[in-house]
Amino acid sequence: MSDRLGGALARKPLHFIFVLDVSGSMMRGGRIQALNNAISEVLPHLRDEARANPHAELLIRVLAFANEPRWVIEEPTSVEDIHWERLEAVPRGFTELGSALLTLTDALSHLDESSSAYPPAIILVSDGRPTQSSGTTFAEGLQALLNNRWGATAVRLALGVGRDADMHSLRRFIGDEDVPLLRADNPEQLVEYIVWASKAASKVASRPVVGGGGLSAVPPSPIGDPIWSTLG
Amino acid sequence: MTTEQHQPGWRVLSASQIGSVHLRDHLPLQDSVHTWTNGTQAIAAVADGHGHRAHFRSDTGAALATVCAVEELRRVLGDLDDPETAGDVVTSAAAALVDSWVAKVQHHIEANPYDATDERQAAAISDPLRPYGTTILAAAVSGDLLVVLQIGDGDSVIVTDQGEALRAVADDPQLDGLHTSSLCEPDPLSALRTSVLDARVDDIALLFLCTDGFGTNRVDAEGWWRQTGEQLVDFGRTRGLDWMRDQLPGWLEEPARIGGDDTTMAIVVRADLGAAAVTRPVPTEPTPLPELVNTLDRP
Repeated sequence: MSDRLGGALARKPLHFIFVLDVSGSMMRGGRIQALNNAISEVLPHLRDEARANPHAELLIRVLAFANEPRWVIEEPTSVEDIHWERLEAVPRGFTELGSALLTLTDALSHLDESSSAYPPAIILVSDGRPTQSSGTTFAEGLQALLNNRWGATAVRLALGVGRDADMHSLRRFIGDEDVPLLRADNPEQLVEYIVWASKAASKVASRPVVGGGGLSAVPPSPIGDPIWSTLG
Repeated sequence: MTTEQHQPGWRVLSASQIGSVHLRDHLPLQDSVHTWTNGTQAIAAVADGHGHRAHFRSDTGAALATVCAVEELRRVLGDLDDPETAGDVVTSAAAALVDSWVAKVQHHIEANPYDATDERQAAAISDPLRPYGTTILAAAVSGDLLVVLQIGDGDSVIVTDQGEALRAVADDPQLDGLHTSSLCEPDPLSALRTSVLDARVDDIALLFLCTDGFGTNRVDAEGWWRQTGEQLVDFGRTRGLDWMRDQLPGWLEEPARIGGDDTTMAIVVRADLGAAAVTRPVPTEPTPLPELVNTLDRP
């Protein structure tokens, strides 16, 4: 009989999911380029977070949405193995966020039903008002997400991009009034906010405590000129 | 032969390890363990102070919980002589434990009032018990009668002489791995789970209590506690209780490091379990004690 009491141990998975708006409006003012740069820049930070959280296995997925949702990275992938390929915005593409949330919910429903995982961390980035050309409203998609055990317990953060971002919908996605809702008005802010959100979500979601999340990290102050809000 | 000579002897082994996430985040050890024994009677209590920042005094809350549990169970040990009434006795003890914990927390707050200028502490003024939130698991054995009480998550497991492990209390449907019942809630007794066992009838060799840090990251999520029970009985029988006492901090170090959470275990074990091991050679050298904090109780 082994001298190790209780049997083998393993790190618990921490699913980290980016939900990214690639609608037509993201082509304006260099937003899609800034989003790509932001994701590229956040990956080293997430690798640092993974190393600082030896108890959690940080697994990344990326879901893009415009007229329809599309998994950019569908299989949960170790952050060490992510090689970011630049996203393209969809010309004249809508903002089918409700449909994207249904796809996200479906993915979450395949997670382990036991308690052997941390609550997922979900970061939503969008620059517009949700559309419903697919027939699924934002409210329906959000309700489906919240009806899912993992969706309801997830650490949910959202970033608006530019003045047209529907901050009301993003606030509803976050749910918790105490969690900051940020709007990036220039590329530097987008990078900084995504890095902040990723690190904060990682830390909160991976903290093995009872009682769920609760962001304690203070978001960064706005930097640079608000070019996306003035250019539209 | 006197009645005393028929009384089984009991020993208590315990240890606690701070979790790697607590070390990373400069948080204190928020688990607590407190034990007592006179040889024929024994009490063990473990508590897991909640780690959320809203429970910023949970290390104190957990320490007070284990102290209260041992105090209140010691108070009723003399009444634990009839399996028919022992259920009421342990329920009363649990109610007294809650009252005593609340009183001690209030004393602590009086001595250490919340700072209204601090945002986190100011939020606690309207819900003063919340910063002290903790679970409590406790067991008492007097002769052959063994009682267990539990509020919140963690594991209470009894193990028979044959190494068969059984949950000591019923499952709490409110526990989903993400939330727990707590002493800081308005009605903690609504989440109280208790049991009464006859160690002779049920052939109980030992009982262990552990905080959730021990089992959460096990690969065998459904069966780790059975394996743990089987191993403990085997270790006790073949290596002896002193060897188990020396190994216990090391057994807790790995889950505390890999799982990140504080990890605590208390074992109430029949003293004669390791009697035969005394004459047997020890197959291996004891593993070195880890460098992390531990609160090994050495009787």
